[in-house]
Amino acid sequence: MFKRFDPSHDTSTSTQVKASIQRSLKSQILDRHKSITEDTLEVLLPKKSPLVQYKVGSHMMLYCKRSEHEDKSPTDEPVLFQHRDGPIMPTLKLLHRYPTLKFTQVTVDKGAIPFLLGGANVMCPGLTNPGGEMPADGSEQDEHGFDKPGLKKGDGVVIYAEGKEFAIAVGTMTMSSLEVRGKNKGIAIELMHYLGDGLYQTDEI
Amino acid sequence: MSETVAIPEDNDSNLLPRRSVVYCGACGMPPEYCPYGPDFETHCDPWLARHHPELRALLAERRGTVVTAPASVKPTTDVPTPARPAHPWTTADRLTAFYEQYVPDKVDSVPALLEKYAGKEDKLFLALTKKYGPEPSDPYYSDSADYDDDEESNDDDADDDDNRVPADGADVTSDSNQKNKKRRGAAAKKVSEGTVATRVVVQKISQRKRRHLTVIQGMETVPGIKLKDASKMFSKRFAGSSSVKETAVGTKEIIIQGDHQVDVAEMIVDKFGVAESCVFLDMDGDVVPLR
Repeated sequence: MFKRFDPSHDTSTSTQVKASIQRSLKSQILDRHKSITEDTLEVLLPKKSPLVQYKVGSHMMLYCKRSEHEDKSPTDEPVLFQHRDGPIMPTLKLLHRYPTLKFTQVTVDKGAIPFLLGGANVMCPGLTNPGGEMPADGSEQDEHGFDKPGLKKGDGVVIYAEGKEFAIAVGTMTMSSLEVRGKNKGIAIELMHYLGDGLYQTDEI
Repeated sequence: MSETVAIPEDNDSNLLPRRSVVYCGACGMPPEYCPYGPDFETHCDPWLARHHPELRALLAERRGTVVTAPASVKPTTDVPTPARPAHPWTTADRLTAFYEQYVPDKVDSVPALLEKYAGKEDKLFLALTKKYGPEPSDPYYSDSADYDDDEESNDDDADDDDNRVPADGADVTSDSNQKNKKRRGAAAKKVSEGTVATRVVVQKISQRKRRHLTVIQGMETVPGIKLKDASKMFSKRFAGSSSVKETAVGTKEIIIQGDHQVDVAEMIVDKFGVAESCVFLDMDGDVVPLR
């Protein structure tokens, strides 16, 4: 999605995010990523300093933190993005900076790394091979008594790599983790943002 | 995982500790991902050895390789070993060998030089061969049949540099043979296309009364030029529309609005560095050289 992202061409209007919208952003993140607490999110996105929203293309929103400078116009540092009504996900630079900030995460095995760095989607075996990791299924049951999958289709995940410290990519699940384990074939995660893409290379807008 | 990779910074909160992350100065990735890039040996590793040696050792350990001194500092006194080495020279090896042959005192400055000329190694070697003489040949290639000294001496001219457009069509064909040899890594992906002799024909076509088009054929034979970019430059320069069209024969031509036959020809010579002898004007069916 951000492979050829170039802020000077691809971003159009920028607007300040309303406080109410910022609240709903936060509640969405809290809802989707269980291990993030309200307090940590409040530190990350304080109420006082509103976010700035950029339109990227037609369906992508990029949320940035604005920092003021004395001698030049303010610069915006990308922190979150959202495609259509999809999950709201953080940028990799943000993830690297806050190691304790745990979004829902998966781990891929070593063999997948070079492909991910080229922007390829994650295939099922990358998650199921030894070295790969996904949240366990069946920790909760739905109202009919069936196991709930650890990850649902459409969930946003942060992708880590086996033996590496830093997150390598961010993507959305194209099937549930139950299916990934069952089928073990085809695309498991559609990649949105990875190390080395245009968004990663953008420090500020 | 381990905290050694990143240095903890002043925390803005206990809830959300912040740290400053080390990114590779050469490729911009976190250093643990550097080896997957194309320029690890030539750019990333030297940078890491210079700025974060302890981190470099740690990462090498994790990769399971033995930590050695940076390749550039390693004394390689036994240069022309008769046995063929396992791999071709890295840029550092190549430079070290060069200095050992001509100015052994300066071998120590090799890492600094590499840093300074990162990405511009071609120019460095070009300057060196001009100053000292032909560079020593890599023993890895020494037993390949078509590799002789004569090629080695002007080998640097052949090294790829898209900005320097060979001026003459004939020049391109003779160089292309050597071009494929020295390339490794990322540079190896660039394939030379310069086997066709450069020949650009500028033609004027009249439409109605005083309406004209200028058609440029053969622009694709000029090495190192993208037709679209060229077309854009023309449209800027002549303030009219300019487009790239495919002809029936399969070649491509640039069509510019207006009568700019001579101006275009001169611009091709000045801006794109095409030799005057390769540019022709089409005067009502007669193809005449520009000058």
